[in-house]
Amino acid sequence: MITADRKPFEEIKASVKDCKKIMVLGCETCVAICQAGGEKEVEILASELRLAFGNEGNKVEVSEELIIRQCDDEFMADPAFLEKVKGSDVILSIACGVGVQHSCNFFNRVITDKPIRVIPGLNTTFMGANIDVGLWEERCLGCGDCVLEKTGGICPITRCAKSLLNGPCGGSSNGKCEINKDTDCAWHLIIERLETLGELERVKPVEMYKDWRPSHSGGPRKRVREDLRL
Amino acid sequence: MRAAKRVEYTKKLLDEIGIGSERLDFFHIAASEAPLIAETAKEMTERAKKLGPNPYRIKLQQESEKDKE
Repeated sequence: MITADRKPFEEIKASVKDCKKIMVLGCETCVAICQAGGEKEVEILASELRLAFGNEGNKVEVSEELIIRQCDDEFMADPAFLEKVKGSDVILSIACGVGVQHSCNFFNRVITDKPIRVIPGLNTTFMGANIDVGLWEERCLGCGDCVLEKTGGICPITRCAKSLLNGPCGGSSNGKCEINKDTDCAWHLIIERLETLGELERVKPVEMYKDWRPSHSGGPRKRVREDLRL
Repeated sequence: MRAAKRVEYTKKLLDEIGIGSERLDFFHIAASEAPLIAETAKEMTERAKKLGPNPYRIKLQQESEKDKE
């Protein structure tokens, strides 16, 4: 899932300080699962804003809305919802960066008589897995050229600080990475996993280079499925 | 302990919004320590009295009284 953390409250408050009608817009998918932008977080942030502004004698209306996916037009097209969007001075989106951009783009495309301001309430962090209760770790960089079949299902591109294709490097010590003693050395894990699987020969050939063209290094990417397009 | 961590988190929220974290606290007291429970309750009551009502509620009351006039 895509993980995110809420921005500091002071930063959020400052970004909406001139607005009288604020809509806090959550997203029920990834950021709800990592407890940054779901229903509960919408309620907490809206309450915080009401109390903080109310405490300063600043009268603001804070509404609470939740969309199944802010990264998908079909969940935002409800006319009653769009009326509420139109009636707000600002949309404080607590979706990931994709949701913020997509909802902003969508609102400004379908609502033509008024510009709609959408601002982020979260800092999007990474694509990761829920490792334990309250713990998420990065697992995929979206490099566009997956090598997991060679590395026992452990990604050296994401989990090795140097994204090495032939590891471990000299900085690996007792299974930990030199950048941080709390970080596992990805290549140590890979060798251990391949040993368990009896597939150690998979990493014997030297990988010459990685094709980074399918990654973000080739600019923003687009995925087209012609068979699905109307 | 999870409850203590959640209380800490909520105290941070209370500070952020200007209500004040001192209005909330977490005490770890065994059921057999009745005098300590009473003493702690007294301490919290004194603290609440000293801090007075929630400033936001006072503002809301003042506004509703103004509206009535």
